[in-house]
Amino acid sequence: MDNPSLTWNEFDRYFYEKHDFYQMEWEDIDLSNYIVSASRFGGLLALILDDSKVIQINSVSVKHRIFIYTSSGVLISQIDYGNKKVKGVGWTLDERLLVVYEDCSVMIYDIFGEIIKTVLMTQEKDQELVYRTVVWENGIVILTKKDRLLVIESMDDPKIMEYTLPLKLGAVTAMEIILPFFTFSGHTEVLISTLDNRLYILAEKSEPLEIELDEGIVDLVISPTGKLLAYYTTSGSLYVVSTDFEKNYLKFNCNTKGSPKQISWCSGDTVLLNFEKNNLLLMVGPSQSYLQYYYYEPIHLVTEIDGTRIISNTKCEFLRKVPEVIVPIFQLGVSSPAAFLYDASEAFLNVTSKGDETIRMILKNRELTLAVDNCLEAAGHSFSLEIQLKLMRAASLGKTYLDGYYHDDFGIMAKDLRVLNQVKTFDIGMCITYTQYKKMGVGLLIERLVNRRFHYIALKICECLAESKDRVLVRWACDKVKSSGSDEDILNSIVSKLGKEKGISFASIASVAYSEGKKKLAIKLLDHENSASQQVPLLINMQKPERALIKAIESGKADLIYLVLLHMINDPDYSEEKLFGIIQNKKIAINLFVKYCKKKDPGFLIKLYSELKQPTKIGLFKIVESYQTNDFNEIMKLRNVSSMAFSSSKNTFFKKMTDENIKFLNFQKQLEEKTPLKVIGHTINETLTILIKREYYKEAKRLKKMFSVPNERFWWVKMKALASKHRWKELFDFANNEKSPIGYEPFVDICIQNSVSDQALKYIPKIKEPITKVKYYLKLKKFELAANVAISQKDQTLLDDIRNRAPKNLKIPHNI
Amino acid sequence: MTEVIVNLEDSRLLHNIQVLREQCLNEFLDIIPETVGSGSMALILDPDLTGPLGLVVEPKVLKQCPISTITELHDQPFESKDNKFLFFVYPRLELMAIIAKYIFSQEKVIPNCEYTVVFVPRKTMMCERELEKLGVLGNVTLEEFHMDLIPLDEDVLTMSVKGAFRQIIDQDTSNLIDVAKSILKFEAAFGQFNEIDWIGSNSEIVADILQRTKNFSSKNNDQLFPSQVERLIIFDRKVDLLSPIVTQLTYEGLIDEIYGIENGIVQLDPQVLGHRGNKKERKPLNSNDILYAMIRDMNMGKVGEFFKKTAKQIELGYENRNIVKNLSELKTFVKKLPSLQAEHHSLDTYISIYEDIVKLTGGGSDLKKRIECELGILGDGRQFYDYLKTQIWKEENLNTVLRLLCIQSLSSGGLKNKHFDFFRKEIIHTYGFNHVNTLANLEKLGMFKKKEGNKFDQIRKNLKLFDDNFLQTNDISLVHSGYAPISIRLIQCLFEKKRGWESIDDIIKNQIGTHYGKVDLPKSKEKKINSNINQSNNTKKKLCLVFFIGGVTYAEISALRILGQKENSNVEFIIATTNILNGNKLIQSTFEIKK
Repeated sequence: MDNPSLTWNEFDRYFYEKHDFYQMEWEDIDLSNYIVSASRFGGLLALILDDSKVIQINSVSVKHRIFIYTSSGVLISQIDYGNKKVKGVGWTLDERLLVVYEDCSVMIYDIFGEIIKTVLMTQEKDQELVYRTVVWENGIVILTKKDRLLVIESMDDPKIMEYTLPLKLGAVTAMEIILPFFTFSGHTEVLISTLDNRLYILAEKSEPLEIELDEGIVDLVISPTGKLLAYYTTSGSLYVVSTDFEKNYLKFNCNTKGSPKQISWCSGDTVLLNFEKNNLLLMVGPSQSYLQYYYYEPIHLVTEIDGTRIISNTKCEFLRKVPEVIVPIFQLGVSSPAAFLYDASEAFLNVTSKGDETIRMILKNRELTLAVDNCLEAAGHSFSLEIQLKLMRAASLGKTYLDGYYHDDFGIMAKDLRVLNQVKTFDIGMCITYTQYKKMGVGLLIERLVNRRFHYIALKICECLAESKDRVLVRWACDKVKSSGSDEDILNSIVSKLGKEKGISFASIASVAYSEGKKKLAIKLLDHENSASQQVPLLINMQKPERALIKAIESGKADLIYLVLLHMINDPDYSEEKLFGIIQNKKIAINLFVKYCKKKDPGFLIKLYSELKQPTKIGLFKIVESYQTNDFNEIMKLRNVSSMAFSSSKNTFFKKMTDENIKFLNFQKQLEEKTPLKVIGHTINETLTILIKREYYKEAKRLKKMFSVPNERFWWVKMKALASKHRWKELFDFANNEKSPIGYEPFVDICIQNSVSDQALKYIPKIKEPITKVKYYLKLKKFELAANVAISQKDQTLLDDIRNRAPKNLKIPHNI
Repeated sequence: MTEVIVNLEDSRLLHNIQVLREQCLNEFLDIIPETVGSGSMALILDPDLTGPLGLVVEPKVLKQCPISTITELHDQPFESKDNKFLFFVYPRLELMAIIAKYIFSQEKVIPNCEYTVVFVPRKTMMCERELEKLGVLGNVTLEEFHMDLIPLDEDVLTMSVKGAFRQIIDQDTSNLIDVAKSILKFEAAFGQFNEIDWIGSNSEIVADILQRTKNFSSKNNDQLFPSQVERLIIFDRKVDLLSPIVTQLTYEGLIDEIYGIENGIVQLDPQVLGHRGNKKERKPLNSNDILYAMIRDMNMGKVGEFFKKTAKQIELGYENRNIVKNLSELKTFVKKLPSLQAEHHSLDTYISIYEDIVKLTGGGSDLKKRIECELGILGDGRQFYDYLKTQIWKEENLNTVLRLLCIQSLSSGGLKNKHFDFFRKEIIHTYGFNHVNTLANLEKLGMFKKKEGNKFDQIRKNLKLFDDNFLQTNDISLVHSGYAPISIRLIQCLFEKKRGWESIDDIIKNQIGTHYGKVDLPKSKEKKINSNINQSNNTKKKLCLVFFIGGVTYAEISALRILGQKENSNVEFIIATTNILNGNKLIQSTFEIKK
């Protein structure tokens, strides 16, 4: 092959080249009849018959249709959109088609014409019509005929913003946008030019910015970097200014009659003007230089990040600035390390020794690494397979001379080239340059392939580049699900291919099956899903709450269990019986449900308990509730419910206690009515204590009898109550009145605690056990009395012990 | 100031155990912004979280964060000059309303503040929905702080879940997923377990989650490095509800029983330490103090002896004349050595605490009597109904009354109808009608119930639950002066019986009344390599993680340490738990209605 630089055009200090990607497959397409919209990164073309043109071909089939073609002109599908009028078409990055209709509705289609989403930009009743629209990769701007400017910045989450328009908006000549990531505000800005020589810049929540110009704008385009604006005026001049209008870079008089059909940016700061009527494509550079290309057929320009795709009736071409890394390798009369390496590699093939010498020379100059890197990169940027091969060979040769060269780069480039050349083939028709490929990323490329249903190639690319295959496999399965065939066959084929893979989302496959109306298949597919978090919500949607609940319980995730339960409560389709039927034998779910109801829905809890035949729990819960109120009648009401509940659960003890408590509460109530005492809220013991302290002995006795308080407890309570009031005489009388059922030690103890030892001494003789008596006497330091006990007991050792403890001056007898 | 957080640099058992804490700390620091910009930031903590957070974040670290206010979340209106708020909360539904209240009142003071709610350890959909219902979801950013297992000591990890036992009562299984996740996190740090045993229904749920995760995760289980911890035992507290309510009689156990240990710290009245003032003194209790590590697992009866011995050793080392006869002499002696003041100060503290405990457990004391009753019941199956009645009539603390009643009930298969109703009635009359619910809870747990056959005698015999010679045999029963916790005996069987729990299948299934199992783990190649290593390196004991769901007591921890330190044992234990439990805490959590 000849040196590629022979086809280069020198322009404005740079070289430009035009490359033929494809001869178009289509045959009878005349682009002049169509509105064309192309997807970025060498993507698909959407063609719609231009209503404003007199239709030359009078076939019905082309009306109301969008034709989708590859860049190589292979027809993929036709979308029939009915009787609507299309006002704008655009592509999302993953190649979904955005269509704006005149009635302000927006539809997103997949490439086979299936509607994915519909968004209404205005209320139907408003009957607004679209005047002009700009569609970009993820958003839409609409100017309506009633002068409203509506913006959506993300079709994934379509929020409609309305921008303020100037009060008097003249006739609009052109509209363009600056993408959100290029603006200061972070929101889309809209440029509108009008016939009255004005340009408006409109942004969210701000007043329109107005710029007055010397002449009217016919068309305007923002550069791919968002920094430059090119516009064409009524007088036939092209201007290039910065988007903040601070700097004017260019004014160029085109000297051409009529306005260009299209303006496009090409490789940075160069502008292309398509004067279709004059068969002229004019390229204008920053320093007033220009170049003319002649086309004798209609063309459509597609701005790419590194050049311009030119679609014509017969060809798909690419015009770009030659990448800088390529230039010094092939430019005649210029030498560079990479060029030397390239030549050396060619020399090797011709078996001359010159090659080796050359490489050693480069090595000596320490430029070999650079040369290898440059050859590699240049290979990536080259369109011709032959040149790619030669450059790769040169790089490969060069790196063998290098110690510690990072060989991975070579391997990666080889793989990248394989991928690029594969998708560039005629059938797939993705004419992606290396620069574009790096910018868009492998993920997007695979997404596009999968959208085109090139599952196998996508899978091979994943394998080649060691990317995760999950997404491709799932998408394949989803398409498989949509295909005809028995559920059995589809399931088998999916499970046999995907069953062994890890991390496959069977839930998303099942979800597709479900929306396709293949319910049984969906459920079977879901059984293969490992993640309950994915499985459960889908089962709920599929109206399989019981299965959903089982899976949720298996996962141990309380949140998922609640998700199912709350769904069933809130869904009118599920009667309570149905709900109870489902959870009946699922203890874990019931316990969680109870926990929730206790806090948020006590009414439902009672229903649940009665359904589960657990009246005891109702009784107990009503007791809990009763302690949250101070209203006596409310408490009584709750107590009665508890009593009834315990009675129906045959819990006789709790029933007895509850009835007793009701009696007790009534007793307390009466007491409060009759006396100034405050007793409600106190226990039986406390109430007794209060009564004794305040000397309501009759009532105390009644209370004792009513609730059969054991004598012992009554004695303890009374003793403590009297002691706390220091009513010592009364205490003594009480103790003497009848025989104490609790003994007399407690009396001694309580007197000692209150430091009234004289009182304590009174009770000691009543104690039965002599040794206890002695213990207390000693505690109170009454050694003689202690000794007396020992003597009366005839206990010599005890006596001796007492004497030893007693102070020496006390005369304790020595012998009994 | 004393270091509050245990230093884990030289962790004896599990090298690198501090990574668990470091992970948590780093995550915490990631959540706190490095700079605040304009305005200032307030940190608002769930009161239940303050203690556990202290185990991860030291005050000095917190001081370096750009936080101007730190306060606890309480249900009262709040006005702040700050404009950024970080709420750290457990995902409890009732807290969401309080947060919403804060936000509404704060917005009136300064509109458009920034609010972040950080859920520990994970956010839940229910809380998110609740915030949405309350109308504040739009105002807040939601984050997660995965603080689950935090080292309390070099061999103890806790999730510090305050209501963990309450969840056992309510059969609330919602936090078991957190248990499972914390186990997986542990595996990620220290290698996969070769064997996982579980016992009890809550453990089974956790085991199921682990099993499912292991089945679905990467089948390539071959590890490059042998696991540091080879075995996991998941123990459901419900299997043994007796041991936690028996009075703990180790040094550490008694400190917990008497003064209460929270997050590794005991707060003591200054009088206990012989100091003046009325401000409680905080004393961290952990293995960083070698002396404490030596005495904490001892039976109280041996501690005095140990102190005397230590004193003698010290004395012999420094001065050969005075023989220390008693503890107070020892104390004065210790004070005389200023050069070693720091160490002696801690010895002094331990002796002071010891003396205080001796006073409280001495002859004639209530505690002493109670311990006698417990041992009488557990050792000889005696009944102490008269004592119990008097305790109620005297209106003794309900906690202690119920503990003893439950021990009586658990060790005799319940109470005869007559007694059962009598005690219940006396409790309701004396302590209030609200305790109907407490009694119902205890009955539901099977801790206090009507008699229905007594299997305890068989269990006592089969598992050798009682050992009178505990001081000589160094058996784990020393932690309760004769009674060996069922929980630890069961774990012991797993290692000492030939076929583990299968050897005592009948005891577990028919006498204790629970079930057990193993997680089915793929056999990995690594195992073989590992066994080779072990043959050549037989001296090193294997490590086993025991995870208690629903709580573990200090006495049980001590028992596991004793088990691990036995000469013939080839295993040592790391203890993980949802919380540290004791009898009072257990009984307390059965109180449904707090008056």
